[in-house]
Amino acid sequence: MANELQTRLREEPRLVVLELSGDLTTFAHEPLMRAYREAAQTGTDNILLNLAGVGYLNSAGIAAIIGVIGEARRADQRVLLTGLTPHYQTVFEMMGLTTYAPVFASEDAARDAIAAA
Amino acid sequence: VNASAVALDQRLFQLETLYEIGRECASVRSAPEVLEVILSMLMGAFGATRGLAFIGDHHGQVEAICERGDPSWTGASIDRYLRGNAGLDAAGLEVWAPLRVDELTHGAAALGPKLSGAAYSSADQQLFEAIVANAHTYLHNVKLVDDLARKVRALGVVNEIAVGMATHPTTRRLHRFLLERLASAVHADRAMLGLCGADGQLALAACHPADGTGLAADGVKQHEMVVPIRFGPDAIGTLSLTRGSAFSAEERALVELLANQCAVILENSRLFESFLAQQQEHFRLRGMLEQYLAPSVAERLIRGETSPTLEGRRVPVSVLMVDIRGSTRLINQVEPEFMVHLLNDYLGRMTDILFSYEGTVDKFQGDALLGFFGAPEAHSDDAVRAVRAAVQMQSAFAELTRAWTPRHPACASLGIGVGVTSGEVVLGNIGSTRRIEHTVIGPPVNLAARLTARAPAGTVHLDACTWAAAAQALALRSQRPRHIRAKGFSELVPVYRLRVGC
Repeated sequence: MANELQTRLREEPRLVVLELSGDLTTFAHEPLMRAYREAAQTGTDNILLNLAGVGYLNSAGIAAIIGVIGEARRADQRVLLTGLTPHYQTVFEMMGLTTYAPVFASEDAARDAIAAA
Repeated sequence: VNASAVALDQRLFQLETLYEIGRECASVRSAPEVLEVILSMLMGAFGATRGLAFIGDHHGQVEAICERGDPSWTGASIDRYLRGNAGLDAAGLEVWAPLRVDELTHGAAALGPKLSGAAYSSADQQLFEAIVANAHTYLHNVKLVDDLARKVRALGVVNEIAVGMATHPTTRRLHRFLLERLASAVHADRAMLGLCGADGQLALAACHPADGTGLAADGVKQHEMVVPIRFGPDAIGTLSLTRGSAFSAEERALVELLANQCAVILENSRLFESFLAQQQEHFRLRGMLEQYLAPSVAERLIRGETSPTLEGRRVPVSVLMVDIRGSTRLINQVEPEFMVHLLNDYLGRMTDILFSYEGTVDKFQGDALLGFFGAPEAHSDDAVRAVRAAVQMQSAFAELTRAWTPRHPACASLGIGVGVTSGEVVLGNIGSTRRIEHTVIGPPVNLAARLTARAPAGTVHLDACTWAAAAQALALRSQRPRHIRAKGFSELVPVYRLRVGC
């Protein structure tokens, strides 16, 4: 039985962190898009998706993240990623996702990058 | 070497999609959900920003569709594609492949540009097509499950109709109930039932809603589905359903299935109504016959267990006539209401006795009763039955007078005389077209009237034929007959008298 995707939103001065837990599969598309839109409404420029709590991720989950990246680009927002296992980091790179959503080793590393920008 | 390893990794990841689709489809039950899984997986595997997947029939009717990203394709291109007139040619699509479900259903899956901006390679195209071709199995499976679910739903409606039949016993109420359930099963605005009459012509039998609501306003396009109702090889009617949107092939299949069930239910209902009509006729006929015949004889005649004596034929019978002695004097002494009560009591009791021996009432004449034994059903001992009935009548009348006397002392002097004769009579309808009487005619009838007239109270007069047929069986003490002159008979008539001790 799949674990339904859970999202938790954390607002910080220069970014909103979306903590994801559960499975990122076909049926995570809607909850992920809802969570993204909630984050986007805060008016932030940076949305950090923390996938550390994601137990299972497949192609459909990647499609859901592509959906978030697509909407964020149209809204002039930047999507950042963290919490990816080395395997999925490789997959994201192969798919060309990291060009539009850079991957960081930790939330702090993402905060540093935003501060430095 | 590194670039080749990355490309191989990417292919491996994309190939994992084949397994992943199967894994996720195992938990979904509908075609739209399967399409969502397929499209999500494909978009993720190829990094696509847009996607489209749909299935429908060859008439352009879309059954399920899933869109992701920023769709810019139009319904027109999908319609053309489904009708088989063109490939899937729409703006924003970079790669597509047909989805084949079964002979009736097909569709396509398509992807828009990749997020990376890279073009789809021929290897991408081949892999994409392979994944889509493989995915049709899951759609086929949900269609099968869907089909099963539809049949279960249909059986649910059929069961509801069958159960409802018990509470809707009349045909009109059953028709309305059937239509209401059918309209509800396929969300139709209006349902009509046409049934073939005896002449084979189709006529409107019922309509739902009956008040005319559900009719579309002028100019509003309505879609109609007409399904024949067949019972065996014969079409016995039609079901017609209308609504604003088109009916799907699936809905038609459901109504066809229900129509088959309706045929059985309607036929049962028709047989039930026909049975009811037969029963009504049976009771009407029995009520009529029981005015003349013993209930057991009436029942046997209706059931065809006995052949009635043919009209106009000579038949041997025993005729019984009973008349009150002293009634003229009593009429002048008592209230007419009491006399009516007395006569009803007496004639009712005499009739009961006649019927208890399976005799037939011919007529009531004032305070006299004429009956006979041997028609419509003959017995080997009709004369014996007639004599037994006559004797029992005397005993019964004695009881009646004892009951009446306290109300009027003059009743104590009342008595009955009974005459029984045997011989051939003619049984038939006598009268005019305005009034007709079913009766027996012949010398035994006339003689019975004469013997009764001569029979003092408390006695039974038998003619020679009856005496000969019954004396031995009833162990009657032998006697010499008296000879009387009877009106209408040229010779003296021998009479045997039984005095009934009461």
